[in-house]
Amino acid sequence: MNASRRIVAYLAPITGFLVLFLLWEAAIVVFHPATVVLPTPWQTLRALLSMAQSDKVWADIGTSLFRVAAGFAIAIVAGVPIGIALARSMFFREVLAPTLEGFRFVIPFAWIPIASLWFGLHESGKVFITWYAAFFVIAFQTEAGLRQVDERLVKAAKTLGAGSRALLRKVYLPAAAPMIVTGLRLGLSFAWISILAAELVNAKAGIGYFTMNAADFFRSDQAFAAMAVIGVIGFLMDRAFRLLERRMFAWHRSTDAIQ
Amino acid sequence: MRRFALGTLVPFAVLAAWWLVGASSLPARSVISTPPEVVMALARAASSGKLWTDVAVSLVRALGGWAAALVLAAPLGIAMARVVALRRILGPVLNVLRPISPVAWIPVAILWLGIGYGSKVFIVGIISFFVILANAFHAAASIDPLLLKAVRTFTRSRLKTALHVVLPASLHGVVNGAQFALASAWGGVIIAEYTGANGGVGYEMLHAANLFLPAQVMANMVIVAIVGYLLNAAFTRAVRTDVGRKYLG
Repeated sequence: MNASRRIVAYLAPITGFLVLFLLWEAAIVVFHPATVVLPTPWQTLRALLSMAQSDKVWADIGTSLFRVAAGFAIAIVAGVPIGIALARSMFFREVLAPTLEGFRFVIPFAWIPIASLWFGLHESGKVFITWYAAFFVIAFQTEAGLRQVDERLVKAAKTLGAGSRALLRKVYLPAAAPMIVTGLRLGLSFAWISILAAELVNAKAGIGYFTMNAADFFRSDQAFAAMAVIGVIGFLMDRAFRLLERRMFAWHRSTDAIQ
Repeated sequence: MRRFALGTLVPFAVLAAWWLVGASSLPARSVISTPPEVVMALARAASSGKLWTDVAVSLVRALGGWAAALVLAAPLGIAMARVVALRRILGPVLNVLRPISPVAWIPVAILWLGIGYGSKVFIVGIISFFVILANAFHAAASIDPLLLKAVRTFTRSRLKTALHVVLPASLHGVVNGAQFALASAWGGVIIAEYTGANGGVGYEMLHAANLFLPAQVMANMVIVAIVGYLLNAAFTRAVRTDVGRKYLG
């Protein structure tokens, strides 16, 4: 990338913010909405600054991030091995795949009410939701990743005397890694969306709860500021994984369609 | 036959365990109900007509938002991929908005549009919009430049090129995006109906949970899964008909 293109790459997000702010201001000048309906960008910025000084808001962010991290970690520990088993064992696949495919249609959001009955306000209920949201895409991406490994590589490794353990560690997993990491990225974003949903509905803490609470008390400046926080966190999660993908797997073209 | 038997092993085991615990005197009994109770709840909802109205309400909201997003996002995605100026102007704005989880719009949507149809369609629309936009953009941006150069030796008309080359070449992306978005739209309407709604499957499900009726909650979960499955199957089938094959490849 040459210098001028790099400058453009850095300028693009800034112009994005500027244009958005201009449109936002224009909407306020034209429509004169009540502050409850649409706060000005400056009111929102002020709310954001005062939120940044509030320990409670940081605690809410921390709570949400912890819930996502815990569910995501369990989803990795459960999803990757199950994905490997689905790809490598015909028997395992025949036994488990139909059930997993079926549960896939019971979307994470649909578990929120029953989880509130099962777990009440306990943290385990939130972790259950984030785990469920991340698990399926991680397991299925792992399976798909292992299945698309070039058979010639496998045969070559076998010719050189690789056992099934070495085959998995030295051929299958490295070759499937890009798709697994894509699965992790999508899993993390699903967990993030789901925890916000769960916190809107049934929680006493968390950034989703904060947003809903702000709107309930007609503090839309805080609700908009919270949306900005949510956007930044979502962006950083996604960006971290994309950087990882680009650094580790420069040889592999990302093929996920959802983007 | 063997495959079928193996595939039903786990579901039957889960059902049996669920039934056993539900019929036992364990403390979990009261919150998990039993399979027959869920079936009964479904049958009651179906015979009273409640089930059909709720599904219809949610479906209209989901499909409304999805269709609006499709009409906006598909042309926009293709245009942004092919028109540099448009990409330069809109790209950064959309990239600022995109990471904001659609769920975070729910409180604002209620403030703006109330608890009825409008706020639900808005949420579903936002969810579907970015999925379709990204897929349409990706497909239109990855048209082989050589192909476009070849076209230019026949015509310099941008309109003709757009209609006969760019559009057909981007359609598979639009179709893929629309299919993902349909699933997201169905999920989106459920979560939108949890907060500030006056009907629909999501509303009924949370309402049942607040009344502590696990059988009704689970009956609604079954409905969510079945409708989600049918939507996906219907979409796949529509794309695979003769008409779909002709126009969508």
